[in-house]
Amino acid sequence: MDWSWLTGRLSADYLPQDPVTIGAAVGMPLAILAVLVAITYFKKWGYIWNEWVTTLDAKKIGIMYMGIALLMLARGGADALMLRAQTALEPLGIELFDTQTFQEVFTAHGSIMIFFVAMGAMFGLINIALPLLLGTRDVAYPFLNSVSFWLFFAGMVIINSSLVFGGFSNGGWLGYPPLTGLEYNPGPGVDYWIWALQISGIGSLLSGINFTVTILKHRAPGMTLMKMPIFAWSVLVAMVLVMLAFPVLTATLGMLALDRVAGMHFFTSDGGGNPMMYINLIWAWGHPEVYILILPAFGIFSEVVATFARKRLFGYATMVAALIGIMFLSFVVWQHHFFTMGAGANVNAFFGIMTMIIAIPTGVKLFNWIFTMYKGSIRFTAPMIWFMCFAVTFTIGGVSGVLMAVPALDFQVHNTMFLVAHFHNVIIGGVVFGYFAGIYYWWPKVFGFTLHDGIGKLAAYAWQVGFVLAFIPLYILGLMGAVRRLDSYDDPTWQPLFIVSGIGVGVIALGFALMVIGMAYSVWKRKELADTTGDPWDGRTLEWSVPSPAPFYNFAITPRVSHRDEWWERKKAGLKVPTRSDYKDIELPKNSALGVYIAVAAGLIGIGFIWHIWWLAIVALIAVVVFVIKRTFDDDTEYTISADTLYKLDKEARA
Amino acid sequence: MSTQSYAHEVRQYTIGFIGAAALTILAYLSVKLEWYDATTTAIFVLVLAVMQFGVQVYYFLHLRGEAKPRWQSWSFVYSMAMMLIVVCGSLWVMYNLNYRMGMSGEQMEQRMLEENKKGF
Ligand code: HEM
Ligand SMILES: [Cu+2]
Repeated sequence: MDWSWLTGRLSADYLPQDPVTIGAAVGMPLAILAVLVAITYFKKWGYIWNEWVTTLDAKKIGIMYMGIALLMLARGGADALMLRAQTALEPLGIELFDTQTFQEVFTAHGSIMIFFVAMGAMFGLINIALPLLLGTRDVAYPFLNSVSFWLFFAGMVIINSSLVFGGFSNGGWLGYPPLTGLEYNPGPGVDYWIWALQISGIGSLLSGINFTVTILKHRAPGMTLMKMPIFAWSVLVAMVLVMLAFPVLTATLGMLALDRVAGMHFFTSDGGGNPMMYINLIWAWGHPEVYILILPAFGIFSEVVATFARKRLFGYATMVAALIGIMFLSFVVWQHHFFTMGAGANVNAFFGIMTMIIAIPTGVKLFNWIFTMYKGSIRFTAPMIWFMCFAVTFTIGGVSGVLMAVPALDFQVHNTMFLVAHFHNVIIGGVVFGYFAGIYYWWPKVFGFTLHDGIGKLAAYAWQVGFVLAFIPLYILGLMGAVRRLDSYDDPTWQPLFIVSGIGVGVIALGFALMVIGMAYSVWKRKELADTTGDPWDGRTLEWSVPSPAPFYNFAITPRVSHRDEWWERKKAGLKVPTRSDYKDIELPKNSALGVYIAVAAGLIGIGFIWHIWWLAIVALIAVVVFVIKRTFDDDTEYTISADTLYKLDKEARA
Repeated sequence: MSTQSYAHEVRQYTIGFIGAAALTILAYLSVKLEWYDATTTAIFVLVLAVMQFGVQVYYFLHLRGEAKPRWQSWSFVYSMAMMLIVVCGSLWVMYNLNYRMGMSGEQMEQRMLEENKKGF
């Protein structure tokens, strides 16, 4: 009897073969099992389901995003450590991976870091901070928010399960065909990559819509656009870019998927297709994507610098102008990622010049932060140390970017280690340091106690030193001719640099360990580190006006805003104690499990496509539609907290 | 919302839905049943796509009569501008790339001969 209609192409041939992968493939399910057993043992299922899984509270969703992002950082970091161990030791004949596995590992590393670490931490921090900064109770569409998170989660599960069954794509984080086409990659690896990105990408698109509407329509009364904290501005621009760029990603991956499962020829060289079109399209998403990641980090730094320099942000209006400039310019530079693909001088010159121009608004921001610090009374807390590391590191990365924006020069360094050094320079030194600053800055608002500052600073220094060791050698290697994605090389003079780089990754790992240790230590000492005022940094914006940890309703009384640094101005004017009549009934969203159900079904669509189990894909698709319709016709989605209760809760929280 | 405007809205959405579905099916059939030759089909599908776009904007986006600040109208204008940039830019880039990279040896030779005939 032929069971292939039932199980698609699942077969034991797809179980992992090499020792490293087998280790991971056995270890990961065991770890998950241990966690599940622990939850059952401590009878925490009810708590997890009611307080977390079904929650529509943006802050809790944000915490879950952050948790996954940190977990994935550990996974992606372990990948990186192994990759660099291989390049450091390979000339000695010590090989961790064969070439195929090496390729799968760097593909997983890149995809996980961008889609599940950077994007996850970005949405996490936005969820945590944005409503509080805007003086609002929630995001515009709380249910959609839950759907977004769980789609992200489903994508994360898919990308990690490839480790156990089927292997991963070997096509790099952007999966260029023809390598990722059916001809060269018939197995499920590329499909894993496609569907993990596709599912989490749709979640990102929904989040983009959600936060844009939140910013445009749900600001506290009196908060005009030009009175918004600059973090909100940067999120607004980033989310506008999400709304425009992510459909391009979805369509491009969709076409690649059709090529693979439906015998189409969008990106094959035969049948009228063109693989160059894929590269063009993926970068029409990809370049805006790098700005999507960096802009919220810029926003975080703007808040951090103003707070710890105890000065209002220098050049608010130019900052907004720079953001809006970037909103347009980031869509006119994408071709700089394939200068060398063969376009003529006119095309390359146009995009090269546009790329140099986009560096200007970016530079403007740096000067704004420096002028904000000028003559400020700066406190060098952990978030501020992350900023100082960022300011130096990111500038170097920006300069190497402008170098590569010169097409003639890019022909020398494109797809070498020099490029790898550039984008890690801006992504680690910019995006990652920015989000880490955000974690240390907003942690007390979320959990009610600050993170240990000394360990935090140590972690920042370790990351900074590790970064320099790990990536400055790559610039040199790139100039010496080392191409990217290299698993072995013949030139022995490269080895010392690769060894330094490997040590650097180790130091970064130490930095990450210090962060985790710092978190554990702070939880242990949470009584001493408790934030009783709700305003541990002497902050400027509205999130510091509510108690820590921020209550589930955010603001007991909707704030009226008349200043950019509303909370700072209020403190200067003298705070008034609210009276009973200031409180009004409020409405909050009820929990809903449908978000999880939708994401599970979406994940099953992905599994169906990956393993060619068509009935599963169809059933799951129908399930998604049914769940969405069910939610649409549910009118009973909110509950009321009476003014009396609110008054009491608020009094307790402030006591 | 009054029942009248509700009924109106339902009608608008229904028309929009049927219109969008019909245009999609038409495009599919024209390709599947090979109504026209390749070039005509391509043009036909493109025209349908533009009509599809019009239907969606008119029946679903509610751009007319929006109160200030006209976020939807502004975001529409911005999206259009960016889309034009990406579409035209892609056409430019791809034409250029195809011209230089996408030709077979014979085509390239042919092309060079033609260009040479034009002189410099
Ligand atoms: C300061 C302005 C910047 C300029 C002028 C710039 C310029 C460039 C150029 C010309 C390339 C292509 C080089 C090549 O492929 O040979 C490139 C690649 C890249 N850049 Fe930047 N960049 C800038 C900022 C950023 C930022 C802020 C990020 C991320 C947050 C970023 C992330 C990347 C990534 C991920 C790649 C290439 C990835 C790949 O090929 O796999 N860049 N950049
Ligand atoms: Cu770029």
